[in-house]
Amino acid sequence: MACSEWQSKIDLYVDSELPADDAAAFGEHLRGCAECSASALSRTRMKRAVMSAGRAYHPSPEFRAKVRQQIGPPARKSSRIPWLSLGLATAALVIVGLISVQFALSRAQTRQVASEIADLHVSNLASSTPVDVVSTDRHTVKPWFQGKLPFTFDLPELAGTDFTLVGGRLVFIEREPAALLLFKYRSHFISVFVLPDSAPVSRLGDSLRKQASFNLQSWQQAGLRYVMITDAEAVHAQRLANLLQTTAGR
Amino acid sequence: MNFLVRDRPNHELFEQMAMPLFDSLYNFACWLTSDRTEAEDLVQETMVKALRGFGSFEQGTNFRAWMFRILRNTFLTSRTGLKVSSTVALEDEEEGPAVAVTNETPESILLGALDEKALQSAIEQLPIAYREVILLCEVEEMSYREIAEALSIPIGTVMSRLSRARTSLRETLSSQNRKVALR
Repeated sequence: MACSEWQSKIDLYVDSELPADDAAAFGEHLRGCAECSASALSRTRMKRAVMSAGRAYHPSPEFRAKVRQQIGPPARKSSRIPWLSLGLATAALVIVGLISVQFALSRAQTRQVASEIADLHVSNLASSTPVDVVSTDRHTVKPWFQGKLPFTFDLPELAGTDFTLVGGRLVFIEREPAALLLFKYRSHFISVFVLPDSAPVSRLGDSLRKQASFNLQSWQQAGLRYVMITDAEAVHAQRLANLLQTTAGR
Repeated sequence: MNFLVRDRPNHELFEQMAMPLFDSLYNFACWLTSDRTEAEDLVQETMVKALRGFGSFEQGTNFRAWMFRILRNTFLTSRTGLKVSSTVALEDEEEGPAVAVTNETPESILLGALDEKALQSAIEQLPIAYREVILLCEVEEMSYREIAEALSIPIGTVMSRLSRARTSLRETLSSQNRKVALR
């Protein structure tokens, strides 16, 4: 399919409305087309910004309680003191309300971080210079971050494995500086982000999920959060994760 | 599931299904009415109407889209809704997917850095038909099919309104960026 035809499908792609086959083909096209990749990134950012700006209004607990009372089951006769049961019910409603708001906010933040990481992975690969330090030697890549990051980390020895270190660069996730390490497994690129394990990125937890069809894996080790994202199969990504975990655990 | 109990709406089941949508309905109502008191009245009326009509809700269909449809129809028959719908004329009512033919500009690529207030103001400036479609898509994360169901419009119209809403937002934001740059 010509690039101009793909351009007309970018909105469908970012809205997850493309059929699975087309989405996979489009993902493949994005890897080789800087123009479409920039458009997709821009629209994804716009989507995320509207999502965040659009969640502007929140009902008061009093209003929630009032409506719940209106739609709830008709009141039954009770031998309890009415004001006591009403007080308890209101307190319970407020607590449940606060918990649900907190839960919803936390889920939205987790989604936003995962989405930002997927954007960074895609935009970085689309860039003509995906890494600032180009080297397969871990003893060159690791020292490059000295003075640029308020933490340090170890890189695994990859000789004798299917993985190659491509290089690294400094990026920002949720305004926190992070190391981006780019690895290659056959023709697949794997981005590993390393940053301090604090909110909101820590909300990703120790998890494996799909984000825009990429495999996204996250874990915490030695106070640092590692987030790995790739289009390679999860089983291969897991082997690199094991190597990184073993090295960091030494 | 029984939506009726002894010919009366099943209050407990309705509460279980409707209350998780409460925040979303309220947020959407605020965007439609631009007034918190009116939004509260709208949500309250929607909940009461939905409870009354709960017995006619078809099992297996989309409850969320059903609730948003009731809210939106209630809004359209309110004083503010009638005023808004009678004063806004959309371009030729769009059937079929409109293609977003917009050139990505450095401004649009830098959207992530934009002020949230500027974006909220740009959303407020959208005609109601575009505002509701973009909010259901981006904020409520509804699929095109769900939006079509909630707004009672064809999917092609959802796509074209969405595309126009996005173009309009990008243009408003780019023009704001230019104004800031000239200051």
